[in-house]
Amino acid sequence: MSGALRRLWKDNMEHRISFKINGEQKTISVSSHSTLLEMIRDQLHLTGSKVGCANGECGACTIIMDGEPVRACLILAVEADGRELTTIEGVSKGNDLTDLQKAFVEEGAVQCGFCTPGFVMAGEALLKRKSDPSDNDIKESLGGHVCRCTGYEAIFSAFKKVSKKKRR
Amino acid sequence: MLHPFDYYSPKSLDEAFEKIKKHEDSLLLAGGTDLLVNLRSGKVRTGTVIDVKHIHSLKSIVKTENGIEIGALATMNELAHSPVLSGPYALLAQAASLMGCYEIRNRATIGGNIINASPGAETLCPLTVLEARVLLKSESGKRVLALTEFLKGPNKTDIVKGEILTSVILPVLPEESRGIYMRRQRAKGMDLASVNCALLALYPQDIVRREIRMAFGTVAPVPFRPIELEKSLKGRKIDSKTIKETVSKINSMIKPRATSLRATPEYKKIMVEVFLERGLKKIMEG
Repeated sequence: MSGALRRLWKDNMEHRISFKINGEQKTISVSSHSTLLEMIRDQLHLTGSKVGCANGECGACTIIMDGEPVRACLILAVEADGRELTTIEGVSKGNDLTDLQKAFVEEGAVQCGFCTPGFVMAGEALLKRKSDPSDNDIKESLGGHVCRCTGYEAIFSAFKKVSKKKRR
Repeated sequence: MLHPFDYYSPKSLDEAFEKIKKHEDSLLLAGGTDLLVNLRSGKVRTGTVIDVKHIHSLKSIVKTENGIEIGALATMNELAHSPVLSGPYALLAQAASLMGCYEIRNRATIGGNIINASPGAETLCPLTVLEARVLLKSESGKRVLALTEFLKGPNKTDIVKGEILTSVILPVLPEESRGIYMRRQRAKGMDLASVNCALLALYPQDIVRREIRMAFGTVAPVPFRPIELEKSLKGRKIDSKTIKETVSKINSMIKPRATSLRATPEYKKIMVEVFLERGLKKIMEG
């Protein structure tokens, strides 16, 4: 770090944080002003979580933190200290896709694929809190996710397929 | 990318006051769903972010002898599912359940929603008709203010440097009071309210004691509550004639700004009528 930059840099701009991500415990240094999404993509190189609007409006960066879906673009990296995170990379077991991921493939719910990780994370979180979600539960969990290709019907069908499967 | 700043996460109010004092340019972080957007857009800048989420005393929603006390850090999803917010208070839970989207509701807090003071903020109309008060604490003591005194305009409140909004207090209401929150939005998925409204009827079935309170959002810089007009409804039968009269009086008092991105002044005035007709019917029928 150059002298000038070091003078600008104040006391508390680097933080050593520990967290669990996709089942793996990590300890890394993050800057105060990094977002959780920047940390996940640029430091951990997990690029499945997407940068869409970077303003909390599109849902493409949705991850699961301590069991609940959140927008990684609206959280500071340092806030992940002590938390448990799951990104899209941690959802399937290798090539063994989850029921929801399989339903996305079968229903043609993926076109360009950019929004897909966000939808899947929202859906996995929904299925964890409600094993048999109603149509309204599904719509509530999809409400903040934007897809510019599919028109949502196929995505909704994929969710329905999984909830039906659970019901059987 | 956000501009560089320091970050602290105090574990107690005292520690937070100390940090605020030491860092004059600090901003408080709660859920971050407004702050991070504003930091990124450059609407606000700061040298220090003080994350208050680790102050556990600010999290609970409890019934007290003076009503209900909601910690400033209660999230929208916590409000939406709180068993304490039932009966007269249910409209606040209902409003919280409509805010943003599920992921945002996991983070956005009631304290942040109040401090951000958006003219269409989800919780402000319900809190206005519930006659909520806010508790502000600082190193030197505390202040309790009516929410309506606290709100000063879009993104403006009466909070001063060194203060932290710690809780929201809802007064005791007659058990049979009924309220409703209504909003109009452009898109079904996630959108800010184009115009919103909260109605509350105390003693809805008793024409003598009945008291109707109403607040409208996005029609003025802060939620609009026509208190004198509410008083004039006391003892009157709420029929379509009374509603028509009330609507035209309200519409002569409000002047929604023409530059709103979400609805024209004319549209908002029509919605005043729709809200009153639908809402009053619902809460009076119980």
